[in-house]
Amino acid sequence: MTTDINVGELLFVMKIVDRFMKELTPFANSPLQPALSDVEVQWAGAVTPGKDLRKTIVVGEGTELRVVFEHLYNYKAQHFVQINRAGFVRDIIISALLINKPALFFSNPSAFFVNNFSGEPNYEKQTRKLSFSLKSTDEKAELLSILEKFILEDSRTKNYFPQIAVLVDELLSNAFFNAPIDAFGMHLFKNTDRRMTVKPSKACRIFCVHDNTRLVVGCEDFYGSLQSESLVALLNGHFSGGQTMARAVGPGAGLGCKMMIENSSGFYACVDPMQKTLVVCELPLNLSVRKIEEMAKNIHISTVRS
Amino acid sequence: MRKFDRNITETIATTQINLSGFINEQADFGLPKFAKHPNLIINFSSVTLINSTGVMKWVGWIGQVVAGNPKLQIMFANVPKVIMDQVNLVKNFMPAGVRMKSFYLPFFCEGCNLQSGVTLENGKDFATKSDGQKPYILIPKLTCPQCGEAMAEDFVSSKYLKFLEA
Repeated sequence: MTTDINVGELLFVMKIVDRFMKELTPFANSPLQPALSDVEVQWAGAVTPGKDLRKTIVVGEGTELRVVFEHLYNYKAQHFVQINRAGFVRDIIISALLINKPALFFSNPSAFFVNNFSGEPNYEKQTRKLSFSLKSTDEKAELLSILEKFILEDSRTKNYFPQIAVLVDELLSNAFFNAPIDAFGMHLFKNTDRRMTVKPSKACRIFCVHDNTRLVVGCEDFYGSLQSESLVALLNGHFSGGQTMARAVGPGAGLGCKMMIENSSGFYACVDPMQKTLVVCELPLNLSVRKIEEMAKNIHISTVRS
Repeated sequence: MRKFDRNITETIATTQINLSGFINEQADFGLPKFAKHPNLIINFSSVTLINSTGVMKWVGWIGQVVAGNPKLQIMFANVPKVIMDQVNLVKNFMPAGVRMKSFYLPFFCEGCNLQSGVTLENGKDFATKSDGQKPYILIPKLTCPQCGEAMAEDFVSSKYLKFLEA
């Protein structure tokens, strides 16, 4: 994987279609093409302070999380993509779609990650899906058992069960305890002891889907209460260096999100305020755990209007 | 998915707590008081997972153990990767003064997509700064039991072995 970005450039703002014209050629006649226009790409480190980055994808090459979160926090960027990773064009397209067509992403998120962009024959035969709607924390144990069977029964995924189980567990904790709010926007269960059973009025949905090369696990809730700027601030603190202070934080203080990011290669937290929150984590398959840990991560934390 | 469990075994001078299953919000580590024996070994060999609530509960409990039993010699034994990750990432997951007796080192065969590993022992395969010694580790060479090829280390040394210098 090579790129031709000049690291020494001070200003690097280009339209996405212009910058990645060669890589995007296969998609030239795709109905998704219009969604790519009007979205800019900016090299990390060359961001202009004060610039509105809501329609900008910040890109880096192997940028460490500390710097990624500095960009999200200091410059209010919402999308950071590592372009030295294989398949980065897909990540650019997903980011552009999130910026310009968020309703499409919200309506069918798994299709954005596990799809046949390259027109492979019999692609469907590669894919497996699991979807589970939960109304109570009491159902978590059953889901994790089903998930365990789903992951362990396939040679492509069996090595990643610990990571995936932690991702699902943390996604559910967020969906049950942090997400539910009342009509006035007050959190209902944020400070509730995690041992308690909670039954929010709106069910959440967990999905896990994979093909031969990547697996995604996600959770959607229908409260839309995620405060993306607060999450960015929290995670910026966690990743700014040194070990995390677990004792200093309580439930809902971001340690779960940090663990999700540590256990995945890409993290998406998208909120349509008062409507829906969608959190998705992705893992590449066919790589050792070490190679996954060494991969620079893509981070997307955004507020959209569907 | 195995639920959390805890049982205790004792020898002449040592209490050993054997933890197993998923350390989560339901985990109960018991009273943090160990007056009977001078040594405490916490055996993690059967722990399969830990979530963020489990991490917070653990940090709180082990902190109480350390504070409430100042003369107790505490060691972590047979620490699997899921716990090693927290030892290295979370401050006070393994508090100052607690020693690492043994831990799991993961390996991977890319050709066979096979995970394997070994358990390293303190004093034989490694020593840490908190042992009062110059830190070292002897990483073995593993061959794949299926194809016989050399297995690759499946950990990032700078992260996974950070505890050696702590």
